[in-house]
Amino acid sequence: MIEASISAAQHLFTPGPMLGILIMLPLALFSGLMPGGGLPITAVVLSFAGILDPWVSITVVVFAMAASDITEPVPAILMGIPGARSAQATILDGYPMAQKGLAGVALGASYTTTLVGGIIGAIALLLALPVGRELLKLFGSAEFFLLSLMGILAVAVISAGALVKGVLTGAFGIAIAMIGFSNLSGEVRANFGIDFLWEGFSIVPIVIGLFAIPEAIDLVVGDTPIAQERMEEMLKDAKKDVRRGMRTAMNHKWLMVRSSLIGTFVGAMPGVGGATAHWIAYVSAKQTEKGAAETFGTGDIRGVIAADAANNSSDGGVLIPTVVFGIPGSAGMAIVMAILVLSGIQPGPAMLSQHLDLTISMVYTIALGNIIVVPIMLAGAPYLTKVSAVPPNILAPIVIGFVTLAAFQASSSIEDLFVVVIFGTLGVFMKAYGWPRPPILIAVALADTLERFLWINVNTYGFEMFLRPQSVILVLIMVITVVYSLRMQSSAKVIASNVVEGTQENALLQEGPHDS
Amino acid sequence: MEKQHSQRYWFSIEVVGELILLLVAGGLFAYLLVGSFQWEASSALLPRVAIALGTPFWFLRVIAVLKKTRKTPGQIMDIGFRVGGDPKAAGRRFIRISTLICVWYLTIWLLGFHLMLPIGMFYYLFVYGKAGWLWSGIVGLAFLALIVGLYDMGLNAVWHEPVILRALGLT
Repeated sequence: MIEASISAAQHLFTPGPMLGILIMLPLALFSGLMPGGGLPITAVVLSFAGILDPWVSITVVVFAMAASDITEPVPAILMGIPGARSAQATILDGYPMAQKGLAGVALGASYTTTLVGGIIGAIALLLALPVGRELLKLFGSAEFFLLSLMGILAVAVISAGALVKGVLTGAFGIAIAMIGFSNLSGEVRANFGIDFLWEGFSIVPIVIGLFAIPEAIDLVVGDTPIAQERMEEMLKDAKKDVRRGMRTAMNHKWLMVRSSLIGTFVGAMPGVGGATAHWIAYVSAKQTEKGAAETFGTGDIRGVIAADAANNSSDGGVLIPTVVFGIPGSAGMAIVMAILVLSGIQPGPAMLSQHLDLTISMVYTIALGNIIVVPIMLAGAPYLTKVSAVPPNILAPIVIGFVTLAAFQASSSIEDLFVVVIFGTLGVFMKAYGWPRPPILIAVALADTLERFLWINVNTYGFEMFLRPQSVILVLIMVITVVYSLRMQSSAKVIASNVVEGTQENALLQEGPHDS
Repeated sequence: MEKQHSQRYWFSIEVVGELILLLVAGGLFAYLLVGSFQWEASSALLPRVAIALGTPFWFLRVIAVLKKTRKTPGQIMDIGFRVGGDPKAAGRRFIRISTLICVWYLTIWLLGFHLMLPIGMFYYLFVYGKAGWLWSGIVGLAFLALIVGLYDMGLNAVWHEPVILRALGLT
């Protein structure tokens, strides 16, 4: 472990990954600040995964995710719209603060808590690695098959928030992955008579179609223009206020630590991620902090602290199931996993044996992302936040332009643009009807492994593979995780709607009675 | 009146849209199942496992959609599109951007990346982004510079032959 930690540092702090970080820094800041979040930019990195050293591509994408998470609360605080799903609770107190002229205080508190949360999440990931290593020694090929299959289904069910839709999407994902060449028999399956599909769908146009295109469309559909003058008014005293926000955040250090631990724990559950974590931390703070029941939702800085600490610490949390079991905890992690596959590295057990140094480098990268980006945001907040005010009709074509080039570049095949259109259409439908998209990506990334392990196990154990004690325990753990996650999500939904209702009531009380 | 309402609901975008999605998933399951009888056992196994897993849930979902009486609650990982206060305007924006993406890709196929990516960028920014001709032009040219500088010179990218230019013998 110590050797791997040293090796990770030796690889990470070399010109390649550092140059990658330098190039990614402005892009990650830009994409995180725009409404819609930083997912499309990670999809662009994916297109270079085949030609870049994994140390560079993984470092760049993990850095981009860490950086985006720091900047995502900005649109939530200034515009009242979540930059990503994981900044929804930040709006409840951040936006009212901005409306009261305290945008700088909210941003200062957000960046400070984000830094603390990110580092706590990274430490949690580091501590989880040795435990995961020991655990994986108990597994054989039957368990790895079950782990992959149940991973796809668990992520599908949990992210859909419903059993039927979840299992259906998981199976649909595996079915899509089955199109094209079979590595086991060498024959071409279900290519619809199209030569281009002999090798199946490439992962890059799938990611761009399923994730980047629907997000770009969403940017335009949910057109939320904000007046530049209003933004400038909000940020008038921001520089001074940012420091005040930092001091206030430090006065609530236990809230920061507690929320960060909640974020790490919830984020580590496959398929749950920061989107649920920040709501749970927010409600926990509302229930435990003095007077919070009355003031949360009206511009209480503790609401911003709780939500943002949990959101950023969940980054370390979601990496745990991704690297240990090969089950990504979020859409962003599914892209990290796809980059690993494209780089010839199988996510899961190998990440804790042959590639332990690469895994540890992710921990360093998360911490580095926080250490680099937070000071930049603290110093440049008044200027950088103007990106959030760029109209969607300017951002969307630029995003589409980048991802279009990325889709083509990965395989130099024009047909991949049609694949983007097909999966873009599918992604739009899936997004609109609440079908989870990550399982398709996970299934395509894991299909070869899944198929190989299934065939080995059927020939070796037959159906007895399901009766091995490790397999039974694994299935039980997975079922319990799914049930627990579904319950937690459903309570998070109830909590979120209650909090929003309570927030509106609190806001009305603060405003005082209206004459009618 | 009641019957009329329920008929209207059956043809609502909520039901029809998801039925299309289910049709795609079901169609793929059927296609794989039929094909799997001609494949070797090793390559037919996992597709059949996927079909066996998915089909019962496919039927359950079809029934649920046809019986649907209220909107499905928002999802955690997929929150759906932000429609805002004016769904009709959002719908118009949706159709506009979707059509433009398809047309943009079609023109790239016909005329190539070097020509159509910068031009498409300029057009969208100028017409819909209201960025003015100068800024639209700068961004368009920046994309051309990216294509030439990074992809042509840096990565030695191999581009497709644009259909129209090939037909005109210009490639």
